[in-house]
Amino acid sequence: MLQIQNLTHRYPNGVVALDDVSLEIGAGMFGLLGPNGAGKSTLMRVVATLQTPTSGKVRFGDIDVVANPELLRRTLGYLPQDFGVYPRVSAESMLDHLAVLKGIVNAKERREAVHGLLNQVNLWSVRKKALSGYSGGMRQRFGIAQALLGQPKLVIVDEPTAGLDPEERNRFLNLLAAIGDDVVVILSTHIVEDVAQLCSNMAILAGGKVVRQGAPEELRQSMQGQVWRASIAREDLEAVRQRYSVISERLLGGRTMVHVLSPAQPSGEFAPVEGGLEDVYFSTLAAARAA
Amino acid sequence: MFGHVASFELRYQLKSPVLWITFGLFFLLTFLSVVISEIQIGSGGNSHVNGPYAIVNTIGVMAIFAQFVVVAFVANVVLRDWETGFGPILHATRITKFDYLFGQFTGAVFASIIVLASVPLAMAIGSFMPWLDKETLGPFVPWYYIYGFLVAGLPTLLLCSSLFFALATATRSMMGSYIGLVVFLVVYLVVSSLFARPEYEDLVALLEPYGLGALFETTKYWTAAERNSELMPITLQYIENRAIWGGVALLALTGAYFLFSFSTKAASKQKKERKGAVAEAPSPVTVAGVTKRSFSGGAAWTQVLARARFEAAYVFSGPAFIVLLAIGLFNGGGAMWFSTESVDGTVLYPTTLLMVQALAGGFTLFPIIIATYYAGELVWRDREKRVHDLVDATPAPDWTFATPKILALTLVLAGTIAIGVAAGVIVQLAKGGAPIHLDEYLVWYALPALIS
Repeated sequence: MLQIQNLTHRYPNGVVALDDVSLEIGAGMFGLLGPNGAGKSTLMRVVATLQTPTSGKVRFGDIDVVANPELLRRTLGYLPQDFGVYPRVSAESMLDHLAVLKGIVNAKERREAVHGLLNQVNLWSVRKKALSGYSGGMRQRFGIAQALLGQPKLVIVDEPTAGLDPEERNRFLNLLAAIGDDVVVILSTHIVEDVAQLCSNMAILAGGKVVRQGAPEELRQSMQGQVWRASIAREDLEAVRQRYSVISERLLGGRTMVHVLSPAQPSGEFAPVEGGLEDVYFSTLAAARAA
Repeated sequence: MFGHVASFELRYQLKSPVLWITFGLFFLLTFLSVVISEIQIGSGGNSHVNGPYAIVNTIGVMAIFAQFVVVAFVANVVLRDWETGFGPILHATRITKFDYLFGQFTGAVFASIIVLASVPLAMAIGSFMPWLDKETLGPFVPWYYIYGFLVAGLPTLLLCSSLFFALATATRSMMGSYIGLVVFLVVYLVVSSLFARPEYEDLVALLEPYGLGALFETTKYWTAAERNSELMPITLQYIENRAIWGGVALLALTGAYFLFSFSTKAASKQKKERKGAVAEAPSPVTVAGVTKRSFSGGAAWTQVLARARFEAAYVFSGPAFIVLLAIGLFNGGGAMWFSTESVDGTVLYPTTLLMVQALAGGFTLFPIIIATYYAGELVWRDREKRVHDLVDATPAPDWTFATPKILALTLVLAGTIAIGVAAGVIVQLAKGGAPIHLDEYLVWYALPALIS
């Protein structure tokens, strides 16, 4: 469905945000994982027609996105990473306004669509309230409601769960999961769990390059038997870092829990662990940094 | 789609307090000018306060004032979606650039029409007030108000909104648009005073941006009776004038259309990457114990001075400061330069006191404008840029935030006045022949201005 070919983007200040990115994305939920500054937002903005890339092609079905942005916009739902709202405008009237802009001109159909979405994202009771007074979670739910207006075939959500509390985050992921299977949904995030819970396919972006892609489950399987963990004292951390390729380290009860990547058991204190998607992510990032 | 965008914009503006505050202000001003004979905008002498001459004149003058409101409306259209960050959502919909841009523009123009409509409304209502001297009143003729609005009000609104819509699109800054308006007005005033001689009258009437010169050209020799009963005719000159400025407005709108873009353009490929030296990263500081912190009074003073320097540097490097100062120097410098020519044609020595007089007349206002603008700017800057949470969470005492802002403002005032004095000295040097007394500048100009 969505084909991205040799996409490169260089900002005027010389920063190369995307470096020869190529991706094939089919229907269903696609996770784009990467640390801050990896180029996720730039990629999302290019696909959403809000940024002309320096070079490369983006196609969605028959649409050449770079050449005909207005064609893609007819079938696009986009939730940017961070958006403000106009003061004094209610969720309902803003959604109604956006519905017209998206081409739902029939007043009756528009009311149905707007009311349906407000209901679906659980904002029905506060629909007359000004958006500027919404909490972060409510604002994000408004954001997904506007992205879903007009049955888009391509939905792009950029870091939608950043800053949400666990309950709101769950509610939001459920909304995403409810989008139909024939729609391409691209979810960019730096939270591994979002992707693990939702996506059937994913790619890891680092330093503007795609460094890994595949189905989360397959990627996880490929790590089996290679991830080892040990709980070590903080003084020993530096020595362990020197000797092994450390995937991740986190504090646990005052000691440091390290995960290392190794084809065989590194030493007696290391125990095998079933590698999770997080291990895939961190080991890929570590490899990308080393390269 | 176009109509929907325009009406959404208008409904949005109708909720904005700016619209109703300025509506009230314009209404009140006009109303007072009608009902109190000491306050006058357009009418005067023995023409009726609700006669056609007074009505058209008042609307024309108030439309020039209304430009400050119009700029706020149309610039808001361009800037709101950028500033709130809501833009990407709109730009990713099916709406075309034309509908988006000019739909919102139309809505904003209607909002300014509503504000200016308060003027004829206030005149009409004012003319019915029972305590008015019946001698100063003519019959109530609704057509006079409509005519005045159409020929003296609406064209100015349309011209001004087009020009500053384009400027806001180009600068993407409210301040930039306002500076543009001030420059436009200063140029207008300077040029029209330069050409205020009978031999230029036709030229001015043809080229003056508000078309009032052309409109009132025919009424110059009218008697009071004519002023009270006849509408000024639409002359060929007026039509030519409006056609010229209408063309300028269309040009500005076309420019805005091409300047504006939904998507951000990529950098040109030729641009070379600058190879910066990769600095050796300093070793990370250990978490505890090394960095010493102090919360004493001495530390507080260091914080005050550091922040005063920071705030003052912000003002001195700001574009608003530079432009306001430039306009002030233009005005004050001109006043000083010409102060040596007295009315009867004799040439005076450029004495220090003469310079001080000219500075006080032509320049004093500008340090005050700068200080007022930045007083608000400095106080609200943290909050606007959303850094106040960070700043407020530091352990520096509260007074170390207010004091440096006051210090910085004093510094800015003193600096601005010093620049004015320097300009005075330069004028004296250029003209030569008179002793320069820096102490006189200090005692007679700098200190009084600073203290006030």
